[in-house]
Amino acid sequence: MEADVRDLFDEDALFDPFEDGPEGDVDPAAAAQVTIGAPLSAEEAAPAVAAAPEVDERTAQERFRDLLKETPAQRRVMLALVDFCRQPKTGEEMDARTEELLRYGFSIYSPVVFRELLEEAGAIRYAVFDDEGNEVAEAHGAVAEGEGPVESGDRCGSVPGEGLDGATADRADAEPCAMSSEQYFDGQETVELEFLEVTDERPGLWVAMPEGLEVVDEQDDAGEIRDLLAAEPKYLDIYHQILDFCTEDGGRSAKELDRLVNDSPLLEEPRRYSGYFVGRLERKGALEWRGGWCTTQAGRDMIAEALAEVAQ
Amino acid sequence: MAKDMTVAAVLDSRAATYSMLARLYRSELDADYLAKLRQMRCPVNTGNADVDAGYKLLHSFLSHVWERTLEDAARDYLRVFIGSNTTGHAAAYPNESVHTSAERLVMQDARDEVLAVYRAAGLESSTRWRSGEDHIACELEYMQVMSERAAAACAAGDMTKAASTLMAQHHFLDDHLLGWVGFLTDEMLKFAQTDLYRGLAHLTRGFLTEDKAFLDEVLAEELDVEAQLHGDRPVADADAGETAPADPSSQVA
Repeated sequence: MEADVRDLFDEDALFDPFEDGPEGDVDPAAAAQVTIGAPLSAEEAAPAVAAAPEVDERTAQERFRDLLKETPAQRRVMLALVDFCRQPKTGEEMDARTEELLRYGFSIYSPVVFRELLEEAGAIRYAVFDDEGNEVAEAHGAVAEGEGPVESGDRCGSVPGEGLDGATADRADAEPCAMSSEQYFDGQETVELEFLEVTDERPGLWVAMPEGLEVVDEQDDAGEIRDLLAAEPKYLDIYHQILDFCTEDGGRSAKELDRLVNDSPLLEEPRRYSGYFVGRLERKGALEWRGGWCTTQAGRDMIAEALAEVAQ
Repeated sequence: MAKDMTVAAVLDSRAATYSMLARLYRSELDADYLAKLRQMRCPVNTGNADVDAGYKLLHSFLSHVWERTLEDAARDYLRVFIGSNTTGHAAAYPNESVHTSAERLVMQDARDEVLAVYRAAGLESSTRWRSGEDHIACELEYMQVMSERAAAACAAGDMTKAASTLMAQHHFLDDHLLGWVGFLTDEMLKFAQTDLYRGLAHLTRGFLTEDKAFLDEVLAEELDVEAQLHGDRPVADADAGETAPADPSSQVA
């Protein structure tokens, strides 16, 4: 080709952002009021900044059920954690239990965040008890949106922050603070300075809420597995084969399951692979991954039921 | 037995406070630093309402540490300093440029100015630092380094070097930190939901004011000379307010 691509460049056709528009296109009065690129003032930005928090009117049971739906991969971990604190448990015990439940799984949530999610959903709560075992009212964490600073008396011995800026004054503790003092010599006189000593928080325990336990107790793995098998009678034999195959100690690998069922004529049209069945059985609690796919007790019960039906 | 409160001890203490403030602004609280903070004693009745309020809130935060403290602090750091929308008013932006430029943008004149100050002091920003040299953590760290140098010079008996280092700090406070930290801390108090960052706001504001008063006092003679030489700085800076000694020359450390 003889022509250079640059020869095709038509300068007249270029868009010029600074070119004057057709007359009458711009209202000079309106243009004078608008400064393009000017930052918003704090007042203009305020509605976006201070959006009113939404009030959650769901019951604790609804919140917990919704949480389970929103985090299907962690559903069993969450249910097991709530079940675990039918008896009060320390944070360390909860950490250990969470890690045990996640031994073969993965979650971006730390054990602390699991507890936070469950607490927010109203499934568990953090309770602090005194030496006699009576519950002590405690407040933890961040100040809730819109909550004012604590305007209590000055129990810590320092000056309340009156007039500092009006928004934050003082969040004095309800309990008296540990104090210490030290003398300093500044070259002319000895002055005594007082200090607040940081104290340890009384550790609390995690306790399951009745609403949380209600949701745990309403779980019916056996019923859900039966529903799954009833919904796909065509594949009943495949499901049973997989459940039976995975009763082996140490479980079965995905490749072993592929070899078991992928060549079955039942899976030719539509084409299915073992993962389809494993995923469904796992979601319903019939299989779980423990370094290999293993049949759970609920899955074993299904096999026993099927065998009993055949025997009849 | 009473401890000696020498000038060197005060200079060391300033460096430590600047270091703590810089660390708290630099990144979220971690377990190691939280443990370190919990060893701290919080002074009361220091004579500055902001410092007192700051230490009291910090004490309240440190005395209520529980398993979710680090999570809460990390979320509050995000809420306070980073924010969640682009209105330009969604957080307490920790860069001087935002507060001193009309467009509320980062990397403006203030950043170039502080960079020149750091270089003049032989300091370069770390290649890992990505938040701009006019970030409050950098400016406080500069003050920490200069405080350490002043303390070392004082301990070595080199009072000329100590005075010139303190003078550089005085100018930096005047020209930079005190010019915008008030806006930052006001916004921090608007956004913070933990006592950690509410306390940090009060403590920063109070400590910088106190440090300025301290420098005004120890540098009274030098400031007087500088004002006479340049004719542009009033004797015993007017913004030192009531804390400035009536006769600065009699207050030289």
